[in-house]
Amino acid sequence: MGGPSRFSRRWVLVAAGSAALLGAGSASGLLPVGADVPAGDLRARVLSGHPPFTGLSHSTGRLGLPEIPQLRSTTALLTGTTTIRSYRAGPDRWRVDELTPAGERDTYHRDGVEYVWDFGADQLTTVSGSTPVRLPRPADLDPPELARRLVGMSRTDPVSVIPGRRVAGLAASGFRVTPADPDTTVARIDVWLDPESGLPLRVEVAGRADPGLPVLFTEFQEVSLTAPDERTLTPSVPPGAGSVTADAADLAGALRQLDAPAPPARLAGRALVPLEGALPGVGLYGSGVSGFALVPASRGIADRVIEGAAIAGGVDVEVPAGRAVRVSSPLLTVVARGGIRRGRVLLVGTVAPAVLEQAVRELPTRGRP
Amino acid sequence: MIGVELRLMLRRRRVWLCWTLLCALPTLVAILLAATRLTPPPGSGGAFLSAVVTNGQIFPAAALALVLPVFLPITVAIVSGEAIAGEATAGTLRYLLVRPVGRLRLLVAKLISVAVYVLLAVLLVTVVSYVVGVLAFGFGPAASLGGAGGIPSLSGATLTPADVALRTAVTVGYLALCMLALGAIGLFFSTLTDAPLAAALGVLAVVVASAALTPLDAASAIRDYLPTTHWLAWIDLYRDPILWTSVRQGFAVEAGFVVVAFGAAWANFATKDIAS
Repeated sequence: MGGPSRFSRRWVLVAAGSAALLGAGSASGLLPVGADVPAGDLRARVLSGHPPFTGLSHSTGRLGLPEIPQLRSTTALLTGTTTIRSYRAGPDRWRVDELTPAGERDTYHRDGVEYVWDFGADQLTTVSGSTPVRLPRPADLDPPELARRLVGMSRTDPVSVIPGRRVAGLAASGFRVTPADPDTTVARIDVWLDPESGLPLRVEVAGRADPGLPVLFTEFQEVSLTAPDERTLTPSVPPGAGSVTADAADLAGALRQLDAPAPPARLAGRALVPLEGALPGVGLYGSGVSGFALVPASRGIADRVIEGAAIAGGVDVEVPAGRAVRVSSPLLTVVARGGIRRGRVLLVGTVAPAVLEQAVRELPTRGRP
Repeated sequence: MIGVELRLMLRRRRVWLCWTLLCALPTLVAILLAATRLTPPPGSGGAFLSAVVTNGQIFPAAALALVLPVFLPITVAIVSGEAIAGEATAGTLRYLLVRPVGRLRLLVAKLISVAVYVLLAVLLVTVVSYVVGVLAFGFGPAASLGGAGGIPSLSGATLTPADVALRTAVTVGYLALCMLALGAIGLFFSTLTDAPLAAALGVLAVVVASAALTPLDAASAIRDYLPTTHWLAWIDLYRDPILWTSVRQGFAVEAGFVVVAFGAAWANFATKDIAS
């Protein structure tokens, strides 16, 4: 009797200890969540301020885009998980690090100048100037920045309260933006924020194909509502590392080389959005989360998207000249047109596939196949 | 009892062979890199490997990243798997327990022996690779520019020698704990069987299963509790400022594994019939 009894008592003790350790690890689930606050007030709080903070967040995209070697760092943001460490003292003084297991790529923004430290390249790049349109980057995906951007794009859309939750040890209150435009692919934008400071802590975006499944979400793992110190916001170049300068206008030069025609005044029933310092051949159409961009593409990029479209479930689009394909992800629609000199383009937006298909058919067929 | 176990461990030829092989791999990599100057492109290959040719003082970090995924776990599996099962196979376990030696005390002595093994393994790799790295690649540009011989952090800021020493010490301790968690699992498996090889293979099965589950989105709910998830958290010690989040989580999880696996070893071994 004694043997089996001792045996079971010891195992019960081990099992209880294991359960206690697991329970301690998930105890945060029992802590209070944020109270319900009127959704309009929460939206106003997101848009009204830039509270300083330091935080670590994970951003995950499940957009299923085709692999494009020239745009790998951009597509990776939308198809995988990115670890982001942010230090923000204000809208014009911040540092955001993209952390990888083998290094990091840090972007510093100070008084209108950007510095990019790349450990892999062992180089600091000073970037002067800015462009009205650019590719997404990790600094766009920390919860406060993504929330401000998305909520700012949908100011007139209806909002509603959603249950609060616990994020990074803080009780967060939530609200949902439901875009009204029938042509957008965005079903909902959910934001949870610290109601006291107004700092967004988690953002979820789901597409209309499956509104229950977020396809882009970013959340703080850890956050401190204190301003980062000056030393942290100052880039440094270690001895032996390279230091170069670049002008954001270099992008305009690269686009100019493609000799793309000016963007049409209207596409798919949407007016061209006037931009200050517009880039050659680049156009933005529509507004908010139901807009799209027209970007001239090099032969390499356009051909790569067209080739990769088949793997990503893309379909051919009938066009008057050249060849076009469409790739639809739950959130983002991409149409690439190739086979036309000076007419290779990418159309990208959070709009229904039919909108971009119509837009690519309306594009002028300049050049020759 | 603990002294006896430590002396036994240090007298084993296979333990010294494991340490030698652990140090040999980074040494071979350093020789090849120094001879060819062909480093992996930034962002690919092992962590820190693309940066070592410019500063040999980074090589210990690169060496630890090299041995961590496979070599180090294999040696820990061999040593820990042998702890109890090896005594049973040799026929000494019964005689050992006939002496006035408590089973819990024997298990504690075995665990401490494994802990000393993993600590010395990580320490030896660190020290040997520092010497090899500096001999092969020098002290880096900071020394030639009149600097204090620091190394660049992943964030660009230069780490002073004192910074480097402190961060390396924490790295050694952290990795030793990660490997001790594996060693504790090996100790538990070693109480389940009389075959050391079976116990070692059990440990490797845990490592492979954990590594296979880690990248799966479907396994996100249990990812933080897997033994290999936090193995690379020490890299965050070389950022500036240090990112403690992952290291803290990893410390808690790995310490939890040590406690639970040792508890399971005790629960099983305390009432086990010893036939050999």
